[in-house]
Amino acid sequence: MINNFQTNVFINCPFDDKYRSLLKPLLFTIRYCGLNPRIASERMDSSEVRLDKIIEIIKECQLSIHDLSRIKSSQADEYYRLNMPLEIGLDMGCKYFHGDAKYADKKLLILEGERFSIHKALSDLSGTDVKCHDQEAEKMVECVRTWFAEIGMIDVAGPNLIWDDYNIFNFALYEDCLKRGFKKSQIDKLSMPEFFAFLQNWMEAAE
Amino acid sequence: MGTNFVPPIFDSRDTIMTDRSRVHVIKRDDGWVVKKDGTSRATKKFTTKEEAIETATVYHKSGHDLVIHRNDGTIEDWARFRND
Repeated sequence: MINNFQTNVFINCPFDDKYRSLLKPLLFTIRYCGLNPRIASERMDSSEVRLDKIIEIIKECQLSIHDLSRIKSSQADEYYRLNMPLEIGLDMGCKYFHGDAKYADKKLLILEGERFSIHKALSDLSGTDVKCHDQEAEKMVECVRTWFAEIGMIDVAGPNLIWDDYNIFNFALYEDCLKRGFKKSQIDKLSMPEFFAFLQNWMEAAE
Repeated sequence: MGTNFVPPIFDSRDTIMTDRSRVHVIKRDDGWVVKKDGTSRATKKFTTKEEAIETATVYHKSGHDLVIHRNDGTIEDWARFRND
């Protein structure tokens, strides 16, 4: 896997347990399509300032996927979440204001969980490329691979094939975790660095 | 990557193990399908998960491990074939 500006994909999304069922197929689809997903939690180094790490990743990625499906508060007195809007602002700022011309070619996909919800919350984004995953893992795969095709990767596999292979990958991960002493209930809570390391190994063996 | 893609299985030392024959019950759009490892196409689409499991069980009894997936692609259950 070549790790460079053209193949790096910055992922701006929540990192809570409820989002894991969407984050994992998102990571899988990016990697399956031959690209390199980059997320702020890709390494756990508490000495790094989180915002510095995010800015570093933004500068290393031509592509970015911003999932704004969880910015809305879901119950009374819950704060709405501003990290994702902040990070899309940083990414767009890099695209439009950075002195290096290569950043003008940045391409952004915005994801929402409910159709047309983004334009209610962030009407300034009207006219940008928004896709709706309906909070479903299978739809996430379809949204992301379709966007890759739309921006010129016309040879990416079809959505059903990627989805089926994601299911088969999950079995490989499940079997491996059982062998390594995980309980079934712990497998779905595997840390992202561990999940990503297994994904990298699995993909490299298949390539 | 493409059709007939047969994924490797890793053990804890990252060595590739011999793949066993498996049949998967997988969500597809608003239904469920049954798919054998190494095949490019799934069986016909079933309206309910129970119907798909019923068909997959026929393959299981003839020598395949049965892997039932959840809506999100993770593993709900894995029944190994035992040749009793």
